[in-house]
Amino acid sequence: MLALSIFPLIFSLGLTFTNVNLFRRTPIRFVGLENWARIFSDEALLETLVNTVIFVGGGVAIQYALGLALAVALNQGLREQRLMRVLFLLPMMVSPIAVGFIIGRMVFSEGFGPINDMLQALGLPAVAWVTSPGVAKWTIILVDTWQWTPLMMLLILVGLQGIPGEPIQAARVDGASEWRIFRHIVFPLLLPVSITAILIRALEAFKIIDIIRVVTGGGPGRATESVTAYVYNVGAKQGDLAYAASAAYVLLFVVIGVSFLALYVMRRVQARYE
Amino acid sequence: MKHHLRLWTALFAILALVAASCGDAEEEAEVAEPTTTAAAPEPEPEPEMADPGTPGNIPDPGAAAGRFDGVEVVVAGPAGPLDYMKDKAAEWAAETGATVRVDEIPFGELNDKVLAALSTDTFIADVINIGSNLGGDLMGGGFMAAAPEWAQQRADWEGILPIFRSNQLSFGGVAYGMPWDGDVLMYYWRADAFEANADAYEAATGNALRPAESWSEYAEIAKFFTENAWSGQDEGYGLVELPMRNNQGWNGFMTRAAGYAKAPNDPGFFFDPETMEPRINNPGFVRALEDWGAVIEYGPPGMLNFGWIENALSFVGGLAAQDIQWGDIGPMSKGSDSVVEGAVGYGPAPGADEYWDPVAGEWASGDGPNKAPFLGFGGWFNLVPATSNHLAAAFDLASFLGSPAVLAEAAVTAGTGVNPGTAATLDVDLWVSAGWPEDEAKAYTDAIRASLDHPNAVFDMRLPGFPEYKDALELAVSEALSGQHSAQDALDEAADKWNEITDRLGRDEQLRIYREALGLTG
Repeated sequence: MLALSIFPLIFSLGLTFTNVNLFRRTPIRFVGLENWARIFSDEALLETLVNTVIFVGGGVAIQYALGLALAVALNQGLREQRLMRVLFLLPMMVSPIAVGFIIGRMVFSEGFGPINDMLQALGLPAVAWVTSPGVAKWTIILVDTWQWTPLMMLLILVGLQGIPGEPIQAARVDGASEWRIFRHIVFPLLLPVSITAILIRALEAFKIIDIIRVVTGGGPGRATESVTAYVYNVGAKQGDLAYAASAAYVLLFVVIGVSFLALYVMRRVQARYE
Repeated sequence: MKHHLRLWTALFAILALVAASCGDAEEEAEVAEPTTTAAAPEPEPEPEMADPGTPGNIPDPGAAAGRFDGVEVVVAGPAGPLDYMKDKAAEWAAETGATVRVDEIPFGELNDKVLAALSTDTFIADVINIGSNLGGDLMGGGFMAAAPEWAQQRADWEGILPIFRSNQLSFGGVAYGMPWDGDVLMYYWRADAFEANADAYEAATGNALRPAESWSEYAEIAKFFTENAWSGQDEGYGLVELPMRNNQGWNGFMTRAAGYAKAPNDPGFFFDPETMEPRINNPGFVRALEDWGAVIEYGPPGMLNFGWIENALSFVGGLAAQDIQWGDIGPMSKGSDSVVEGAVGYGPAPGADEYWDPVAGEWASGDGPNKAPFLGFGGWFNLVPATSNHLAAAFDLASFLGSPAVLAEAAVTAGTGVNPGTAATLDVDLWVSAGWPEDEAKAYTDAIRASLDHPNAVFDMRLPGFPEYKDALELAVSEALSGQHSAQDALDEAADKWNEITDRLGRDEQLRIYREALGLTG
C-alpha cells in the first residue's frame, strides 16, 4: 500500500517544490511555492478545469439518466434480457482510443460521417461536431456517454435487482401508479447505488484524456482540453514535471472536493426520503 | 507541529535521495565501461561508447557476411511508416547475422517518449527514426553519437542535397544523422479539372485559370471550385490543407506564413536573429493567419480537424482541387486508393503578393509573389544514441537504410513516408523506371528541386524546446481559425509564450543555436 499509493503521492508532492524538468539537465533545486503560485495566474489551467467540469457534469448526468432508463427497461423481465445486457455492455469493452476513432472521428465526421448525412437527408444543416468550440465539447461528452452508459446501467441494474419486492407489491395493491411506485419507492431505495455509480463514473471522468486526444486533440484552440490532457502536455511534451505535478494536484483537490460533496448530498437526500 | 516537522523531514529526505540518485546516474553514464557484444563466428568487436560530437571513434565493421552474428539492434520510430523500413532491416539482418527489433511508437507520442527516455538515461533504441525538428534537442542536447566517416560514405554523403546535409543530418558542424526522408511542403492541383474548367473560370472571374503562383490566386481558385460542381462526385472542394492542432497545424501554417513573413534579404524567420525576439506576431504572420482563416471554408467539412492522412486521402480521393502537402502525394496518386492518377499538377507552394520586411518594418514586394518553400519536419532521419550498446551495428544498419539503392526504392513506393532528398531519389529515370510517364516524373522532381533549391526556402525550426514552441503556436492558430480570438491576439499570446520558453531555456544559448542554424556566425 505504502509503495503503490502513498510513496508516489508524496513523491509527486515533493516534485511540486522543485524545478525538475525532464528535458533539461539542470541541477534539481528547491523552489518553494513557486509552482503553486504559478497556478493562480495560469489561465490555461483554469480553462481546462472548466472544460473538465463540463465534461464530468454533462457527461455523468446524461449517462446516469440513460443508464437508469436502460436498467429499468432491462429489469422488466424481458425474454431477451440476457442478450440485451451483453449487447449493451459491448461499448465498455472497446478501448477508448478505438471508440474515439470510430465514434468521434468516423461517425461524427463532418464530411463523411453518417450523422451529418442523416441530418442533411432530413433537410437539416450539417453540424460542426469537432470544429466548433461549443459543439466540440458536447461531441466529447457524447462519445464518452456512448462508451460509459453501460457501466452506469450495469450498476443500477444490480441495485434494482436488490430491491425487495414486498413494498412494491403492497403499493400496487393500494392502487399506486407505476410512476408513483418508481418515484417514492424504487428511486429512494436506489439512491445509495446511484450515488456510488455517479461517484465512480465522475472520478473516472475527471481523468478523461484518451478520447480527447483522438477526437479533437484538445482543440479547436483549447476548447476540449481537459486538465489531464494539459498536465500531459506540460509534463510529457514540455518536460516540466514539477509544474505538471502541481497542476495534477489541483485536479486531485477538485476530485476530493466533489467526492465529499457527493457524499454530503447522498446523506441529505437519503435523510429526506427516510 | 512535531508531526508536520516529521512529514517535511521525510519529504526532503526523499528529494535528497532522488537528487542523489540523479547525480549518480550521470556519473555512471560518464564512466560507463565499454560494452562488448557476445559473438558467434568471428564477429567484429563492438567499440567503446561514443563521445557525442566526436566522429571517427567507431571502427569500420567491414562488409563481411555475418559480421554482427548474435547482435540485436533495436529501431524505434513512428508507427505506420516503418513497415517498409522493417522489410529493409530484415534484409540487412539476414546479411549481417544480426537481429533487428522495430519498436513502433504512436506518432503523437514519439517525440515525448524519445526525449523522456534519453533525458533519463533510459535505453529506447540503437537507431531512432525521428523528424529533424527534434534535432536541436537530440543532437544539441548531446544525446547522439557522431556519424563515423565509413557510415557517411556508405550513405553517399555527397549525394545528399546540401540543405539536408547541413540542416537535417548535422548540428554544430558535426554529422550525426543518416539520411532517410527529405521533406518540403508543396502545391498540388488537379490538372484535369483545371483544364476542363478553364473557360468557366475565366467567365466567372475574368482571369485565366492556371496553377496558383500566389496565395490570393490560390484563394480565388479555391472559391471557384467550391462553388461549382467539378469533381464528378457528390461533393468537391477548392482546397485541402493541414490545420489540426497537435497534428500538422504547425506545418500547415508555416507553409503559408513563410511567403508573407520570410523576407528574401533577411535570414531570420521564426525569431529576430539579433535578439531572439519572436516574429510570429509581426504583420506578416498575422496577415498569413487572417488570409488562411478566410479560405478554410473552401475545404472539406471538418477540415480544421484534418491531419496528414485526412488531407492526403481527400486529395487522392478526388475531393479537392488543390492541396498543400509533402511529396507523398506523388506516389500516393498512383496507389490503389487514388482516383487522380495522371491528373495531378506539381509545384512549389504559392507565395504572398507582399511580404513583411522585419528590418525595414514595412510591407515590400518583388517582381512576383514572394515564395519561401517550407521544409516542414525537414525530413525524417536516423540517429544513433551515444548510449547504444551496438554503435557499429547501429550505424551499419542506419547507413544501409540511407544508401542510394534503398532510398531510391523507398521514394517511389507509396506509403513509405520517404520523400526525395538525395540526388538518386531526384533522378527522373528512377521515376520513369517505376512506371511514371516521363513528363510527370520531370514535373514532380522539378517541383521538389525548385522548392529545395529555392534561395528563400525556410528550414523547419531545430531549436531545443521545439515541442513547446510548436504547441504554443498551434494553440494560437487553432484559436484564431476557430474564431475564438483574432489572429493578432492569438499570435501576441503565442509570442509571449515563446519569449517565456526562450528565457527559461536561456536566451543567449537559444540565440546562439538559432544563428548557427541560419549559418550566421558571431
